[in-house]
Amino acid sequence: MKISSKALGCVGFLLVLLAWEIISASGTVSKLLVPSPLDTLNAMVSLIANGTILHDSGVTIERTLVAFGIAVAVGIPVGLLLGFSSLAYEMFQPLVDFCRSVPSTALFPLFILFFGISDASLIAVVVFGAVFFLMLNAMYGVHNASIARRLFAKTLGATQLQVFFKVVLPDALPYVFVGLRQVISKVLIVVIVLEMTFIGTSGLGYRIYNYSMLYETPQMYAIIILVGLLGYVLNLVFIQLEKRTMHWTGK
Amino acid sequence: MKEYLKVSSLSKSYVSLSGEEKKIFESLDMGVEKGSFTAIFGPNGSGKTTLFNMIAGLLEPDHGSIEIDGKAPKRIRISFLFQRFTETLLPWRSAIDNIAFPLEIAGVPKRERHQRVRELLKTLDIDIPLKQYPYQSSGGQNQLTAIARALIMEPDILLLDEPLSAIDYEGRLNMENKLQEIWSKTKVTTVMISHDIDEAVYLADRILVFGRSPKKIVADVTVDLPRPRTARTIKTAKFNRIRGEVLAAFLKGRDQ
Repeated sequence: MKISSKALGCVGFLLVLLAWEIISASGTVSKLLVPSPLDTLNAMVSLIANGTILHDSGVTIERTLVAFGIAVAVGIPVGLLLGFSSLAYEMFQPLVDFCRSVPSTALFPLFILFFGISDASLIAVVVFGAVFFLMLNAMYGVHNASIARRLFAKTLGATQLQVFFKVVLPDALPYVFVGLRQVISKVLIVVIVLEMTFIGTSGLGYRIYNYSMLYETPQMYAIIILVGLLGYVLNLVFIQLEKRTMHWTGK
Repeated sequence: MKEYLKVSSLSKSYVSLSGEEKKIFESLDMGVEKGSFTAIFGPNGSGKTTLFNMIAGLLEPDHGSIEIDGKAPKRIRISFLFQRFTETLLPWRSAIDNIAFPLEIAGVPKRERHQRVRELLKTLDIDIPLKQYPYQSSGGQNQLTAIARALIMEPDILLLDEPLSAIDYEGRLNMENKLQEIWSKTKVTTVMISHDIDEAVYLADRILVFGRSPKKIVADVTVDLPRPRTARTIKTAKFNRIRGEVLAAFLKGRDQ
C-alpha cells in the first residue's frame, strides 16, 4: 500500500502533538511552562473570537509586507543593473556582500537616533536586513546568466535593452526567486524580534512577549503557532509562485 | 567563378600573455561561391574559429578585407551554429517562440512570426512539437529547433563551427542527412568548420585544408560526389579517394 507523502507529513505533526499531550498530562513539567494542547487550542479560539489576534496579525503582516516591498523595489532593480555591467559587478559585489553580512539588528540604535521610537525605525532595520540580500542574488543571477545566449542575441543585432529583457532577465530570475523566498522568512523573523523590544506596542511579537511576562502560556503558545503558520504559508506562496513562473528550472 | 564570400590578403595577429606577437593569418586569400557548401578542415590551432569571428563581423582583421556579396560582414545576414548550439535555445520559450526569436528581435509582429515559422518548417520538412519547451523535447528535436532558428531570417551565409561534434554517432548521421537535405532545399551559402574528415567529405562541395603554421590554405579539394549522398556514397571508391586526398594534405600541412 502506498501512503501519500501528504498523509505521512500529517503523521509527523500528530506524533509531536501526542508527545506534547503526554508530557503535559504526565505532570513532569509544570503546566505553566507546557500547557496542554487542548488549553492552547481553547486559548487560540478565544483570541480569534475576541478579535485581538486579528488586529495583531494584521499589524505584523502589514509591517512584513511593507518592509519586504520596499526591499524588493530597491534591491532587485539595483541588483539587476549592477549585475549587467561587469565593471559595476566587480566594483560593488564585495561591498554589497559586506552589507549583507552586517546583522541588521546592529543598526537598530542608529535608526532609532534617526527615526525615533517608531514603526519607521522598525521598518528601516528590516529593510536593511533584506535589501542587500535581494540585491546580491539579483547580481549573481545576471552575472551568471548564460554568456552563450547573451552573445547569440547580440549576433542577431539585439539592442542592449532587448538583450537585457529578453535574455538576461529571464536567465537571472531563478536566482532572484531564491533571494525572495529566503528573504520573506528573514523579514518575518526580524519583524517579530523587533516587536518584542521596547519599540513594540502591537503585533504578534509583542503579544508573545507580553503573554510570557503575564505567564499566560496557553495564549503564548497559541500565538507562536500562529506565527509559525504565517511563515509556513508565506513560504508556500513563494514556492507556488516560483513553480508557476519558472517551470523550466531544474529540468 | 563569381566569389560570394571574398577574403583578400587578410592578416590577423594577437599578442600572447608573454608579450610576443603571434601571427594567426598572413595574407590569406579565400573565396566561396554563392550557394556552395564549403568545409574547412585542419589541425587545432589553425585559427579557423578566429576566421569565423571575422567573417561574422565579431572581430576586425588587422589588414585585408572580408566582403560578402560586395558588402562588409556587418551589413549581411549571417547565421551561426556552433558546438553545443542547442545551449543557446532559450529554456523559457517553447520551440515555436525560440525559432521566432530572431524575427522578434527584428520587430516582426507576433502573428506573422508564427506564420513564418510554420511555413519554414513545412519547406524544410521539419516536424517537431512546437508548443514544447526545450526541457520537454529530445536532443534531436532541440537541434532541429536551433537549425530552424538559424534559417528563419533567410541568412545570406550560414557558418557552422563543428556543429555536430557534441552529438552521438547515430544522432550525427541523422543530422548530417538533415543538414544535406536542408542545404539542398535552401541553397544557402554554407561554410563549415569540421574536425571530422568523413563529415566534411560527406557534406561539402569543396574542402579547404588549413595548415598549422603559417595559417594558410594548403589544399583546395573539390568534392564532386553526386547528391543526394547516402550511406552507399561512403562506401564508394571515389569517396575514399577524396578522403585520402584530404587526409594527405592535412598531414602535410600539420607537419610543415
